[in-house]
Amino acid sequence: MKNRKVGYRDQSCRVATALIGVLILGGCTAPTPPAILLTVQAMPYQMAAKVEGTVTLSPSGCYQLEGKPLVWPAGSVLSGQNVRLPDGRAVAPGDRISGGGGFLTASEAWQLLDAGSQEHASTCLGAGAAEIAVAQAVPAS
Amino acid sequence: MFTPHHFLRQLAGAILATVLFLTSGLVAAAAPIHSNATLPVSGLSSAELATAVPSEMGYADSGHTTDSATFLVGEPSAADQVAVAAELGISENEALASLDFQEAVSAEALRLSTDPRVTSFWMGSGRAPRLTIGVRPGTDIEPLKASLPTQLRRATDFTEQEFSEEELAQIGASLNRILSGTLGAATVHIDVRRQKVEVFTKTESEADQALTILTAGRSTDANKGVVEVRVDRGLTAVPAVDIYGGRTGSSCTLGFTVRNTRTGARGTTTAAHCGNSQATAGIGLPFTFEWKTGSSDVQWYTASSGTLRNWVTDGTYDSTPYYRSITGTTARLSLVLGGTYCKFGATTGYGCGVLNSRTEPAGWVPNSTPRYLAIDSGTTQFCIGGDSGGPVYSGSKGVGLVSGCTGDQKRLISMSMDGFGGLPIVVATS
Repeated sequence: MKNRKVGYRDQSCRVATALIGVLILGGCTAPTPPAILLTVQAMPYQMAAKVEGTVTLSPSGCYQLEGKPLVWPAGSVLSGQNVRLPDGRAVAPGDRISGGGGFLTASEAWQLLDAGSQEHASTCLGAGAAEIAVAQAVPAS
Repeated sequence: MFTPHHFLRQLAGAILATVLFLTSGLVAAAAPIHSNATLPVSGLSSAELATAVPSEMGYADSGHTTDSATFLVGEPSAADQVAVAAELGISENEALASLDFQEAVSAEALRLSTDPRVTSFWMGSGRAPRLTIGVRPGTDIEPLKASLPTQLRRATDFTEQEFSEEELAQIGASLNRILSGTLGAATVHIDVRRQKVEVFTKTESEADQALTILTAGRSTDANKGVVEVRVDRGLTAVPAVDIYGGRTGSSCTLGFTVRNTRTGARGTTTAAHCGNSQATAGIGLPFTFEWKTGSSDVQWYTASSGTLRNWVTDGTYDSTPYYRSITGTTARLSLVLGGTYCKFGATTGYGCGVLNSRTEPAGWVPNSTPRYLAIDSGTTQFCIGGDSGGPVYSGSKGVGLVSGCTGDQKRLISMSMDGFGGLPIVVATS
């Protein structure tokens, strides 16, 4: 068997090449924006439409339910990219939820948001006529 | 009490199960087949067949003849009296008498339920309420009659019955297990008054299939004539072409059928917050318009096919199985606080509750006025997501459309008929 010696210069070149590759790839990947959580204000009553489907996270960090902007139940909090529901259950992008709520216009949904959510709602709700999925209760199945 | 009669019945059942197990192939082969359809019967235990399958079965179109009524449990109040009178179409005095009688029966219910001589009991409400007690064949009814309070003794009939409510339920459960793997659409109901376990299928061919499955193990056992297979056009076939309140929409429940006051066109409704894309049973419902402001949380749709009926689902199995006609409406201010009103939601089904407020707001409706109704039930799951839009009614009168719920699911918020005020649509009453 013939041993091949790798010189110091060869090793340096390889390391440099790898570093350049990592830098190039890193430069091509956009930083993930922080997720934006919109929550509805606590209300004595809830709408009783069925709000269900698969949760996704848009490139702009907005949660969506079957492609519609999603507003979460009052008391939900962010935990990384997951959403922790008031009862402690965590929902991750890709998970399916089923609960009660309704489908409103952006302006109607904005009125129901808690004060903290209203501040940065425009990014996710938009101003179009698209329906907003407002989940007010996501009971454990 | 363990009677000799009971023992003999048990023994006969056990022997029959054994015989069936040993000869099931012959029995199945010898059984007259009603249908052209053939289905495998693998997975049926001999015990299930021995318990569940009658020797005489047939099917017919559902021509239901059993009387039926909604019994409201609880202490009678003036408001209940009014609601029950409306529900049953009787006078308020008759309603009070009916509620009093119901309470007397209720006081005896636990004792009757655990009496081995008693198979079942039920109350016929109406102008002259009576109690019927089913007893095992050969029972001496005099001691039983003597044990009843005077009020009931005067208005009680006795009838001999082979099976108790529990026994019929066990047969029904067996049939469910047998049919669920092959006929998912079949439903099983127990009619203890008629001593029947009724298997409802969607079509005649499915009824044939059910018969084929069930007759595969037919015998001459004690369940003779208990099982009926019916094509239930009321439950399944009719809804396939008829559109009416209570049917399941895409995200909500369909409400009352409506008529455009200008054009006469008919349509169906649901709550306005349900989204603008609805369908039912594969029938597309083109969106027409919505009103989500003030007292209104309603939108209406035309139907691409099917027939729009002035019906609502009521979950009550009677001469109009699982639906009733709406022939009028009741304005909000004509509703009775403390009165009992009923609803149908696609998620929670049929239920009745007590009206405790006629002045609720609906926070999700812009410029909401406090003209929504709050109806409470002591049971959980009275109102859940998916119920919105469902009809609220009393007797044949429309009262409102489900709009919201409380988090504990025991209170529903309903748009009242005020919500239709000023709109170009009215609830269809024919």
